[in-house]
Amino acid sequence: MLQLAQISKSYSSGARVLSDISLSLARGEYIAIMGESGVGKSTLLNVIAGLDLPDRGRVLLDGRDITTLDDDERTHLRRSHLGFVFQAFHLLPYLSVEQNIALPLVLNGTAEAARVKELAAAIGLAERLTRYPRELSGGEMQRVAIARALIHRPLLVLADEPTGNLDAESGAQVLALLRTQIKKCDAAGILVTHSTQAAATTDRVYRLTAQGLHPA
Amino acid sequence: MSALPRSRTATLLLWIGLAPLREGRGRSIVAAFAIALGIALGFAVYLVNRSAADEVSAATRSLFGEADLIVQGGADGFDEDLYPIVARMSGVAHVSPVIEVLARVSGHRRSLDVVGIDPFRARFFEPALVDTLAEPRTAALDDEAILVSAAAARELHIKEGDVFQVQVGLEWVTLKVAAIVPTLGGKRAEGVMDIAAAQWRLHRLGKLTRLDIKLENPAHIRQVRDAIAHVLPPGMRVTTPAVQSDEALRISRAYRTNLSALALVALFTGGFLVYSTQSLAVLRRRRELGLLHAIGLTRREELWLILASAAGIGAVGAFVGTLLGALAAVLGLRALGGDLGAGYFSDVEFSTHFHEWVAFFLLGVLVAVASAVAPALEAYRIPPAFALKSMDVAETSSRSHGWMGACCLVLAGIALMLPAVDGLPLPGYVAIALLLIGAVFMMPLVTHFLLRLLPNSRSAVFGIVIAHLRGAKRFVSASLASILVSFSLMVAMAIMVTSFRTSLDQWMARLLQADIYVRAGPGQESAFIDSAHLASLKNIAGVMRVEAARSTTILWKGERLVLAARPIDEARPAKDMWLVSQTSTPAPAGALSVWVSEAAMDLNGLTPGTEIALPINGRPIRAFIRGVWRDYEHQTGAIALNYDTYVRVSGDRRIDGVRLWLRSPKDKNVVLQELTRRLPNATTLDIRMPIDVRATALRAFDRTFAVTYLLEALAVLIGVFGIGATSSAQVLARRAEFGVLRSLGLTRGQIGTLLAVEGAMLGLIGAIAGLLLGGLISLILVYVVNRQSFHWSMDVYIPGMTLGVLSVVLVSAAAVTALLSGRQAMSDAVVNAVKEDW
Repeated sequence: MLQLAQISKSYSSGARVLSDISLSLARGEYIAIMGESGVGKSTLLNVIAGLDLPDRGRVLLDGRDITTLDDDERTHLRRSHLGFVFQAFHLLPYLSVEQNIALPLVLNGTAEAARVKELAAAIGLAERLTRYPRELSGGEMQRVAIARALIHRPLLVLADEPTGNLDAESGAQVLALLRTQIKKCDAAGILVTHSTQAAATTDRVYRLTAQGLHPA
Repeated sequence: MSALPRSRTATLLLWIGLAPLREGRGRSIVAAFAIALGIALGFAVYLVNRSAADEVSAATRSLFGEADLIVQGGADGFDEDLYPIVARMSGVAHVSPVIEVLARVSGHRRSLDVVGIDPFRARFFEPALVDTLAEPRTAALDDEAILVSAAAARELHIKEGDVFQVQVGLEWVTLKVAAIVPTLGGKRAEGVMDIAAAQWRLHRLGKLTRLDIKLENPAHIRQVRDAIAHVLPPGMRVTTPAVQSDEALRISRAYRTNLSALALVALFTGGFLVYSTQSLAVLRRRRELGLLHAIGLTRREELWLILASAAGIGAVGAFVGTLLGALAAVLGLRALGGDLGAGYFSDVEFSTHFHEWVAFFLLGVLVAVASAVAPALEAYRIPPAFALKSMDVAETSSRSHGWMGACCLVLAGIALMLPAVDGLPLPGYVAIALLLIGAVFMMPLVTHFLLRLLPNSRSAVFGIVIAHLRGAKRFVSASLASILVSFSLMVAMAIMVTSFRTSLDQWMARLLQADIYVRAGPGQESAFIDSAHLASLKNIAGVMRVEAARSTTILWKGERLVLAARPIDEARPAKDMWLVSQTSTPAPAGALSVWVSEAAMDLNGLTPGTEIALPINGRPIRAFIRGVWRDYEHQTGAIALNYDTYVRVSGDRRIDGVRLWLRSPKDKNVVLQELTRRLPNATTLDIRMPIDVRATALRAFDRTFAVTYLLEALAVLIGVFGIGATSSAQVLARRAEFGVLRSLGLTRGQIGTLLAVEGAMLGLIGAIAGLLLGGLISLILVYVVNRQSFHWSMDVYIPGMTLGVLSVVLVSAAAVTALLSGRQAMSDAVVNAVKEDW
């Protein structure tokens, strides 16, 4: 489903951040990528998502090389095939919980009111659909973000330090929820984290270093 | 999956697009209000102008009836022998002779425009008027009978059957109101008499002022016009009603164009406020836009979202603006007349059309959308990976766009070298617009330069302010755009108006050297003073010297020019006139010495050192142009010559202006009493002291510029709104920063001081840049726009005190509005922002 073939990327300053990265991921697989700060974990996620382009190498998503697509094509691919969970939640403050969750459906031009309710129930926020982000705790906001990432049944979910802003208890709940929902949707998942406990909730763990990406 | 109803998708996207409007309701309202003000002013000025133009065109059409051609002479008219010559010409079907006299009415400081017609000939041109004349009560128009328009009757308080007097020379002639009629020959004609009676009673025997001509075949108009032109004596012309209408409008066109330009300035400033609002919204929504792009909103869709939000602001503003504009036009027409105070037209009726409302509504939306294009493109270019990182506004790097600013300045320079377009200073206005846009592009560089000059401070608050302003040049530039535009224009207008007013005052001081001025009436009026009365004034005890002046209108190469005959020392003309230039070439033998006004030079190509043929009394008189004089009195151009010379070549001894020099100022009251006694009907004469003349002229000047002051003040108001809008946006964008500062121990008061100092610093940068830019624009207004509009030169005077006060007001207003709009930053809630994601 996802194949990275010899991905390399340097910053505009010339410093190399990704070096010859290769990876294969099938549907239903959930992996963690660990590494020190500044090693390029977020950059790798951006490249996989098509938010950034590699200097060299190919990124095949569902058989299409996204490095050959233009920005609009990559955006449409993200819209239908990818889900995102960020450390800083990134909920739209002026949309309700229900509207935030349904946003990917709206962008894809589809509606499944029942699915919104189902996912909201699964993340334990069925009673809070009309609330706004400012009325939620950090853990609740991240659960809404997880629901938003999965609502449109993406092929791949990318989670960048999703528990970085949460306390231990909320973090554990969020990680468990993320794994459950990725598996339930038969999606693939990549979790970028510093935390070994978080990484332990995935199927496999990789370590990103200056030399490349290797199984831990 | 079932398809989502299209309406729901659109609704949610619209909801997202309009989020910044809801979130920053106050800022959005201010931006919409700015657009509303700009549109209101533009629409109001347009409606007033268009109503006035329609009125003038209708009046001209009505005045000349169904005439195809018109033959005209100067103010004194022409010999009636020309009438049968033209009437017999090939291609001419009918000719209606007309005598037109501006008659001073007894007991009133106003004149009546009396038209004398031949009813039998006029029936081919104005059947409705002739029908009125044919009614039993008016059929027998005797020598005293006159038809008076309803409007004139109302003003003169006369009714049917009344008698009133008009002045001819120094005598009074009695006329009887035969009937009051709704309109007469359009709104210009106020009284109609039988032509023979008018010639006799108004001392115009053997004279005509106009021939209205109807052709056998209008398709042959060019041939007939050429043939008529061939038989006309010097100083006459053959023209069409359309040209007459154009001339009537041309007098005020420059003034009206300048008003329109000023109104557009307000809209321009409003546009910059939308630009500021949208720029700051984009800065603040950077992460949100990054997220939307990450989860599937294309860049083009993001672009449309931002433009839609600007269009929303523009639509609300334009809707309110068109309503306000129409209301302002109605009130403006009622209170100030068809030229908003300049005195060119009166009795203009309001009218409007649906397409005008639509056009101005779309203009408002267009300005708002155009102003948001740059911020939208900026959002378009934000790398989503960068945007998704949690970064504060101050960390945004700023591209200076200095090269675009330089390009605008170069283009402005090129525009200034171009001539006026159809008599309008359009290249000058384009240059000003380019200067403003260029300056906005240059603001990051200017800000960087000015902030580098600031010393580092040990004060925590001042240190934070300096560091923030240095680090957020993009933010500072966006905040300053509307302030810079409005303040620089205010500075430019203040310098231009002061220069104009001071130049006018100095010109009058130089011109009005006598102690008492007596004026009988303008050149076309029937009232004048004769030489016998002038001689009697010389004998009044206390009078040292008496001088006469005569002003009349001539047609030079078909164009109207005022011939101003006044005492001029031909050896030392600079003593009597404000000479702008003069030739050293001596006048050829036998040629009169004349001096042309700047307008005559610009409009008629009359240059010093050249010889022309002046049509005086129906014959060409050789005249040599000795120089150019500054003349703020005659907008369409004037030629000055020595009074004695004029009398010698014209034989015209009628006097319409007398100047008296007294032996001592103490004699003033005695001389005035004696003047009143010796001049018959002296109560209707205009007798004034120089100080009164100057005061009246300056009052008229201030009335004319009252609307410009209003437009100017509104532009500045929009600019100050800009400070408030950008300051409150700034507080929202920097909530986390203020939260950190509160957490670190800064008191509410210190946060307030920080905001006020930042606002004041922004105001100060805006004031410095605005003074420099405004000074530059004022030079364009003085030397290019005014010169091309009104053909008047002026000297530059800088109102230092006014500009100083305005700068202090701007800086204070910036500090206060920043403080007021930043109240949120001082609340406890902001501390929580440290923990918040948004």
